[in-house]
Amino acid sequence: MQERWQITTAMDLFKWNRSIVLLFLCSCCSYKEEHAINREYPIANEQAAIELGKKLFFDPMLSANQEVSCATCHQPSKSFTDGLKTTTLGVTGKSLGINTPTLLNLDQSQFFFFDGGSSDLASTVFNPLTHPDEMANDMSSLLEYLTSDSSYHSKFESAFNTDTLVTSMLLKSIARYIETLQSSNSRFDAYLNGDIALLQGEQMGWFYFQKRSCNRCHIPPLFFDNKFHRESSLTFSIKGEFKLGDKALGRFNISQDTMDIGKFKTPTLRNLIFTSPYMHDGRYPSLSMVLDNHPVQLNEAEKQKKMTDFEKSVIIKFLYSLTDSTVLE
Amino acid sequence: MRISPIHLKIKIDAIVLILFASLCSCDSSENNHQQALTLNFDAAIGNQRFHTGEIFEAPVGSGTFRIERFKLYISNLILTNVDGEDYLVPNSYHLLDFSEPSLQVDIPNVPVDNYNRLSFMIGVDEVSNKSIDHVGDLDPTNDMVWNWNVGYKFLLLEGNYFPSESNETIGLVYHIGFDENTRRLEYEIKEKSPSYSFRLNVNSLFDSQHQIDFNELSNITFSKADARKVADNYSDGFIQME
Repeated sequence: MQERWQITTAMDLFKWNRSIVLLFLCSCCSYKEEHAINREYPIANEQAAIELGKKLFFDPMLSANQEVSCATCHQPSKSFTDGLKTTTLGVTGKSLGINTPTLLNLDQSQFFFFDGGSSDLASTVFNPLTHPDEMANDMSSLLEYLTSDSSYHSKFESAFNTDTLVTSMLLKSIARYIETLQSSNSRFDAYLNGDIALLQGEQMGWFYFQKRSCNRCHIPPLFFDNKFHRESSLTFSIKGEFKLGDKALGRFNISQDTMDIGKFKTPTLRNLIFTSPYMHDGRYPSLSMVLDNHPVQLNEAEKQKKMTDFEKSVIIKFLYSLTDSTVLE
Repeated sequence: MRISPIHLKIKIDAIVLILFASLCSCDSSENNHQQALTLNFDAAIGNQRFHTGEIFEAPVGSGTFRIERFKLYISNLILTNVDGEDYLVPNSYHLLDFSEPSLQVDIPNVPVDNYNRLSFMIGVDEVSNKSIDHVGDLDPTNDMVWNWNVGYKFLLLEGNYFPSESNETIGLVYHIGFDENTRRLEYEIKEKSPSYSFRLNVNSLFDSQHQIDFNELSNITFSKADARKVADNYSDGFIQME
């Protein structure tokens, strides 16, 4: 019986060996074209990294005054927001000029911050840790603290399989924990899975949610679109004086393209019941006010037609069907 | 004579092994095939040696200035041989922190070759600049990352400007980053050597393709348009091989 991999002719042999040589040469060439990136200290144990990240997330010792943790603003009971218009819970008590965003389903997000200034979650963690009005720490002090606290030693060692401690590990661990904050157990999820029927009001709200094109930007099941949109019907004048860095400029601060002035990352609509007030600056305390003032992706005919109280009430019922308490535990 | 397939396979396998061995030898760790390379950097302001905290004449316009912190990244060092083949130094990210006026960058294990060109990038390439959870010179502890926009400050210069016409002190803050502001500088190697020396002229950052008057533009942190001016300037005579 002929063996499966038997090579029968000289030409076969040549082709076979030539492939190996070509493959090897290609790998050598591609090595030279690669950018050299430091990839030391990868996570060795995912679960250990998540547990470490959770401990870090709730540890106020990570802040300069040892009183502010990530969870001070991202409170689990409020779906990882703080209920404030613009948060003032940092070490200085100054307003950050932005509403604290929820942290749900960020593993599916391509951008972070309202203006999308980050496209890497671990790197994003650096901002609140070091921002002078948030946790105001510096990385050297943080590493000193983590090195001196024996309760962290075994956790870092388990997660990274080394007794060396570098900044990258801190950032990656917190990011891994945040990525576990997954919401997929709402009534609407059960409806999508075919497990339940929506209540009549929720069903009508889902209908109007689509009819009013809300789903163009708030795309189910995540209810965000990884894009930036002007969130207000108010026109933003670019003729006046404006200063780069002003939070109201939104995406423009990053892209510096005037088309992006006043645009912000689409937030998720999950757990809205816990996350008021709304919009990047928390300007609307109620969903009803959001619906009264929300612009945007309406077709020309719809633009002329103001949303009725009935439409608003059923859309809000639908939005409440996106409530997922399991993620708050 | 007819060559049997099995004999032919053995011969070709031998050729493959020889080829493999010769390719591997390019990166062999044998000392006689590799050598250390040292790059020396000295900073100056015009014809004077640079020191943090000292006062110098402003490069453009009148007045004087003092630098408190001056740091920059060079990366992706490439050595090119006479046949035009490049050797990209692996993990080549080097923070030049001029808290002292002279710095030395050691590059170990460079394959011995007949190199006639050397180049490096000012800044951090787009791939590595997408995140900051790196180690070594790219570790965020080095205080060279933004906290409003993920990425590295390629060049940081901070200090004070003292206008001649007033007693005012104006803070100088130049944080230059953004992917589009990397610049590759290339130098001809005239003589084979284990070390090469470079001289940085800080004044070139402000007085080259673009003239930047401290009186008019004392802070570049957010503006991409302004940052590009400094980047254009650091691509033009800022670092010269001696």
